[in-house]
Amino acid sequence: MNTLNEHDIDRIQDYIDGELPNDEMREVADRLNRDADWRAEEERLRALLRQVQGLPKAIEPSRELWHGIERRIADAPADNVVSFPRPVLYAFAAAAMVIVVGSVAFVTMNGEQPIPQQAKGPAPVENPTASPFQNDLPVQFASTDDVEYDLALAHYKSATEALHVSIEERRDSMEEETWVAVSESLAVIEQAIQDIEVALDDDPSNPELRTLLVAAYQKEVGLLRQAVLL
Amino acid sequence: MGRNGTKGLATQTETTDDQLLVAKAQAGDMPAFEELYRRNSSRIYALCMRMCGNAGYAEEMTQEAFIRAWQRLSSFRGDARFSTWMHRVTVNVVLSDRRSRAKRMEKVTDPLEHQEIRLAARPNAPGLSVDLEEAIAKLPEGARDVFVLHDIEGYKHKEIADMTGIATGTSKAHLHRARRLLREHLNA
Repeated sequence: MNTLNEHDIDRIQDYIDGELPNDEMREVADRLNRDADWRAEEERLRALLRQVQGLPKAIEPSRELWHGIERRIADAPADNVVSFPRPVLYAFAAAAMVIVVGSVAFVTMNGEQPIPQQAKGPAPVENPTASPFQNDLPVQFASTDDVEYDLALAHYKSATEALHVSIEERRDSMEEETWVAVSESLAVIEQAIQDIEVALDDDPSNPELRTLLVAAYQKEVGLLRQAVLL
Repeated sequence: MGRNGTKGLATQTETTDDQLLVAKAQAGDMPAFEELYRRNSSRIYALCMRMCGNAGYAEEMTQEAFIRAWQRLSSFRGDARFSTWMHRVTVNVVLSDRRSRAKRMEKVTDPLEHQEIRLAARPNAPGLSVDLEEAIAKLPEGARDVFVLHDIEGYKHKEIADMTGIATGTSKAHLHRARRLLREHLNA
């Protein structure tokens, strides 16, 4: 006759899930060794979990869902992509150059100046002590944030590579003037990235340099995105 | 060893491909996003199917989840795999929709309407392990959510608690109840 109550069954479930503290794990293991009812209950639970694990992880919908998704996306443009008219691209590209030149100045002239943690309105470009990225710094990296820093950098590098491929694919359809503006802006940003990377070689854990490098990549991705949309 | 090595390499390649597709989609490339949909839709649909309990609702939620993902794609930084992020988006979409429906239901007084919804809450997609899938679909909502997220999708109680807004202890209690009910149903 089964003498287990709900509390016992819950404990066996927690035991199977590894959710009990060590001493209780040992207690339940001892009980399982000497109580046939407990062992039978454990086996029934494990059998259920085996059955559950055998369920398909993927199920095909019975109808095509993509067209509905595509239509809804077309009806309501996403906020992940910002579309600018062409004149704005030039303004953006010019701003990118100013920003990156500013960042290089920041790295070379103000390397010991900490980046403000909070943005308070647009940074005047004439102010050499202000971080040119302070309005849109995505993340502040501490010197110990190795994993986050590496992940962010890898993400933006991968995005940059993919977008460069997309830009190349669209090159033939772009006006020459646009292509030149984009290329020149990219060249300036890439030079800034190189300069920051050189500085990082000497001081790899510097949080300001890390933040600047990721921000520079982010700027490059932003510019590339706009160019891809042209 | 060879098989594992090959599998590991294949997974790594797939992840890299996903990253490229995400980057393109973030740039507004719709074909890239469609490819991400093709790669992930059957797993997302399975998740919706089990959380929602019926095919029509699951299809609707699958579409909503990918639309939400498109809208939020700029916030995806690549810290996790796209498929992992997509699962989280989906769970949030389903739970949020459920809350909205529950609010609307509070205003409904016609008991026949409740009856209709309860009867509809059965899986009707082909090819499922019918008994177990039916039993899962019949679980009370809270217990079903936790069971699907924990035992099928592999989330920890802490993660489930964060996503659903319940306490970790409540998540465990739901899981225990779900398993008991499933065993009763399958043994009946």
